[in-house]
Amino acid sequence: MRKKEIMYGLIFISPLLIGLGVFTAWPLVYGIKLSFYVSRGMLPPKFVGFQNYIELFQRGLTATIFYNGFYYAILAVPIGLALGLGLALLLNNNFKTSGIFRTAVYLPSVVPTVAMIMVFVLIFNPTSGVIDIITRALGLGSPGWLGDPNLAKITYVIWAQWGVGGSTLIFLGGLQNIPKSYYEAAMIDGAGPIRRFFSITLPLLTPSIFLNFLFAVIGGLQLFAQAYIAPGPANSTTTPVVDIYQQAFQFFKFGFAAAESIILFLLILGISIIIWVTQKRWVIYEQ
Amino acid sequence: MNNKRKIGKIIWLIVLIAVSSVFVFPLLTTFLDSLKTSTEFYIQPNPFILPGGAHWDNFLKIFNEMPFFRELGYSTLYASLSTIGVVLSSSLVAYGFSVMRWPGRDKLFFIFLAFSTMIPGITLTLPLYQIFKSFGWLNTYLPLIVPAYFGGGMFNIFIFRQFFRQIPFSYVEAARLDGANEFYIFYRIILPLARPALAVVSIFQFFGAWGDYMGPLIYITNNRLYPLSVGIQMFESVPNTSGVTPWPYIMIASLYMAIGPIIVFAFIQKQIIQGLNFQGSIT
Repeated sequence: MRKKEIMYGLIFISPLLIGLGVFTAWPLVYGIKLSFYVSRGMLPPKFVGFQNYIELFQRGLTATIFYNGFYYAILAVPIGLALGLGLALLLNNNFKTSGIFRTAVYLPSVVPTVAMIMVFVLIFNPTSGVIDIITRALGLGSPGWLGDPNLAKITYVIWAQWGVGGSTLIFLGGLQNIPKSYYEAAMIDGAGPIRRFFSITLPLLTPSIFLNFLFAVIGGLQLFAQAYIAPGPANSTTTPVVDIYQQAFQFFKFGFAAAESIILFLLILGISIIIWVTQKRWVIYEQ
Repeated sequence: MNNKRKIGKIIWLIVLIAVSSVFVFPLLTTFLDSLKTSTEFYIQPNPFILPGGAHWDNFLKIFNEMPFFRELGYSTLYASLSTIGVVLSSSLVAYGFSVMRWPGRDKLFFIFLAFSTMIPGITLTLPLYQIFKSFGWLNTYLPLIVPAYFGGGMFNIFIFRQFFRQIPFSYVEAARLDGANEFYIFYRIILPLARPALAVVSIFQFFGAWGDYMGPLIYITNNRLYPLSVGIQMFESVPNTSGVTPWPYIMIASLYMAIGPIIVFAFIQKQIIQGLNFQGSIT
């Protein structure tokens, strides 16, 4: 039986082993190789050693681009998690009306990204958008949004908050897994709602918070569609992925783009490892 | 006490009505804007004022303005074929990582999961583009569909695995004693019990592909093969003959693209919450 189980286990996971080999490991190795070459149109690519990397680090724009990526992730992720958790707490009950509210909150998350960006471009138009009508009515003036280099990245952060429905659902799933008896016991012991939140809800939600956080950081650093379809002035919103895409598919500098994508990979790898290692200190797993 | 409860519930209702309005607001204004003509839209950008009344016929006229049905067809093709692959493949692999017991299983799963989430899509896309180009797969949907059949993504495997692990092992043992083979147990016993996971994975994958922008943007350069996601954006960025961006039509196309996921998610949100089980240790 034991040997048979090992064999069957391998059979079941074999599609993944092939997939990881062909569509992950091979491209990764090939990508590293590409980053040491320059493409020359019709001629075969030429080996140039670390030249692409040197060029990348000497280019002034590179720092701006990675700064833009981090700026977005550092602002959008914590705000999004806090809002998502807050909404999940508001929606975690058995009131009949909760279903309608859950649907409303989740609505923008199910709208395809491109459609949602079109909507945002329209309503955040600095002169004719409905948001402009509202800010002026509220006496907040007329912010330039994407037209203002200082505000363009913040605009994406604001847009992203319409998408917290996804993390709200994950938190709701986590909340529903917390046994009711814990709260009952705490109430018998006289713990108030705030005490119950910090002593039961928050610690037991840490696995959900951790995964939400990890995925949000990794995703945030790879912002693409907004920054590509609706860019701000100059390079105020160019993100690493947008730059990589443009270098490769618009300027046909595949080697340079590959080098930049490897740097992005190493950064995300490093940050993920830090998050993974530090999780032991704050994530509580029920056994 | 009863009164205090009532007041609490009323405050809760008010807060949630306010919050929900904020979330619904962009789509509501989009809907109102789509009822104008392009000229009316430029003269009166306030969505709550309809100077020429509601032009409901816009919702049909759109079909003359862009190749809507062709793009809809490609979006549907991409979404369905990749979803079939992801569901088949990721559930099968998850069975191998949960019900089957073999040494090093959980460690290997953890390494695969960690690694695959940490590699940015674009890092693999650049070399994959070259690889698929050498296969002659550019301007086909193969680069977007074929990989779905090989593993289906670690995240989807993770969702299935979390679910399979909650199914009592005695079911499997009983079936084995009856002489059922592993594929039968997987298909007939485990999979039917994992309906919420099936729903979550297939719906997320379907609408993920439905809205995917970057994938088609890279592999599909022939504009006659665009799916809706790229088509709508091209519709916005390429000026038409009159030189006016036809915002009302763009909004209608966006609404049409959004209506499917909105309806589906509205009906199955409870299942999604059950299916997304992130509690408990990963390993």
